[in-house]
Amino acid sequence: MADARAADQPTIVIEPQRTAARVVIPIGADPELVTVSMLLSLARERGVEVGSKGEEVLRRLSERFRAERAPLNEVFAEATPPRHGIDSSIEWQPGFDPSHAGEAAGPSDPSSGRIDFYARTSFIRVHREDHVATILPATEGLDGRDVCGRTLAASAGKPLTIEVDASLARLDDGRVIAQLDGQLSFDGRRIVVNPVLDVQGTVDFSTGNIAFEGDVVIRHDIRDRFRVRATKSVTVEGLVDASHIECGGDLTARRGVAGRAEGTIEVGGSAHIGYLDEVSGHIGKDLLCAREIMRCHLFVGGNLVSDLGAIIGGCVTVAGDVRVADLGSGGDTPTELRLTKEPDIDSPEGKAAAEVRALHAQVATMEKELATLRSSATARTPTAAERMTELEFEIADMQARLKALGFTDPAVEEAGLAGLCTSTLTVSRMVHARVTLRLGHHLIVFNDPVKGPIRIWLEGTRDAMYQLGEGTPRSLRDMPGVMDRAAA
Amino acid sequence: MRVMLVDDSKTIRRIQRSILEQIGYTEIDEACDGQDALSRVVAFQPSLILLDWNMPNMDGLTFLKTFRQRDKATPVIMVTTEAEKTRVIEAIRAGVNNYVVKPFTPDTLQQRIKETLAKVGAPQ
Repeated sequence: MADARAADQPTIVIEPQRTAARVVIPIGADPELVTVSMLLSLARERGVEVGSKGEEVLRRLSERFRAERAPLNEVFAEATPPRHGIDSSIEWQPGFDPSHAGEAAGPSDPSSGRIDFYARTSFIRVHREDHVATILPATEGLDGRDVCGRTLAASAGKPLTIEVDASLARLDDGRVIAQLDGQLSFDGRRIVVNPVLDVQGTVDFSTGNIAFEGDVVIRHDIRDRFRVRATKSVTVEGLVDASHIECGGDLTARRGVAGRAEGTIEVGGSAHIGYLDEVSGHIGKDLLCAREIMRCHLFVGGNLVSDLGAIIGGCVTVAGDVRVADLGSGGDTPTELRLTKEPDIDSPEGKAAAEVRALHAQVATMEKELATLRSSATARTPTAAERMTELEFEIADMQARLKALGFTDPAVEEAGLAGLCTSTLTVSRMVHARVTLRLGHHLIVFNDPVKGPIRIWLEGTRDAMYQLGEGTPRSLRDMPGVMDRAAA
Repeated sequence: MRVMLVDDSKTIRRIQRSILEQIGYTEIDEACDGQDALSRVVAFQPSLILLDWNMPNMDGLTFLKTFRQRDKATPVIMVTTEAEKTRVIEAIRAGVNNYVVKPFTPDTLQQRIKETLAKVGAPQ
């Protein structure tokens, strides 16, 4: 009987982990006894913390039981779960996420659907003061409580173990700001801005063209048709193919440059190069070449030194001294060396000279195209005729511009500049036949080879002089097999 | 003296303009094909037209035939190629005053312009 009465009593059930508490009112319970105070007492006996909201639930349940006389099994109290802390994280600003480097191809042409893969970039370029990322701090979390009022501990977020290099500043609000121009890198642990762009592999479609304000180091090669531009130095540890290199500082290409008539270099400083083959360009200061300079069209603003090498074919213009082992080749390759003092590139004369050079180069290219068109079988087609007219006009236009600059003939230009020549040519082994040397106003043609060591320079009287070994200096006009047109 | 250049090649128009300026013609308008030229001639009222033969949209001959229906006086120099030279007679029938065969030099063009203007008695 006592058991039967107990079974008819309301009971409080606590869920595992004390996440909730429910009241169970059997149908046989005495409605007069099922009051809110009785239910509250039962809950408190079981250790349940009942707040005003829970009390309200119990009140409602007791009233409902009395009204409906139906069994009830309802939750009246719930635990407050803990809110765990959030781990610290890094939020990259748009365009600075290193994990996305190289994903973007170059500009595309919507009309043709073409994408310039040469212009894709594989590294993240940053400038000083760029906001590259924000480090979001870890949060502490908020403890919870179970239905019995016991604390449910929240775990704190884990701090981020990222090291921010001195090349970036981490502000109190978490912003990470670049402190210098360079390449942004992040290896998962450390954020760095490297003022040197270090290309670990080859410059090809995986990297795209390189344009960098600073120094560039390329660990392997530069492939055909790619461009590397840097405001400071460029160092290439591998081979440079028919590509374009432009740098404000020095260029180092120890293995060499195989230009295949399309390679160009524009170097503000000096160049240290293994060999040069069919390359054109301009070197502001010295050129130090370990081996041959073959079929190149170059201007060197300083000295040219190739103690073990040779200048073979092409046309090389040097403002300073030249020291080479061989000039020309045993195969009698026509080779031209011009020793001339060019005006400072930044002076009005220098700018004019640069423009003249560029115009001459353009005229030469167009004349070549025109000659090809004239000799081709398609010369009479409307398209060819149209292009030929365009070329005729372009050439005439450029010649008019050259005339306006006061230069109609490259030889006249060279003569004007060459008059300032104070350079010395030293050849240790041999000057070969079919070498042409422009020295001041002198045009010296070597019809026969001359064994070195030989030194050639302009005397104060503007006579072209030579000295064989430690011999007596003599006038070049006295050397057999050599024609000095100015002297003649 | 107002000159209209009708040529689809921007390069040729640019340099023709430069030659005309050198010989003292400064009022110059440009059209990139026959259709473009037709839309401009009324407003520009050229004294001379240099007309390319091969152009997209409307070629030189079609332009000339349409233009001559409303203007029989303005001299037109046709620019043609050696391959099209045999068709010059057609152009002359359509009202062209002179022609110059591509490829040509700036000097040749200058000479043709002077010749044509002298022929029609226009002021040079």
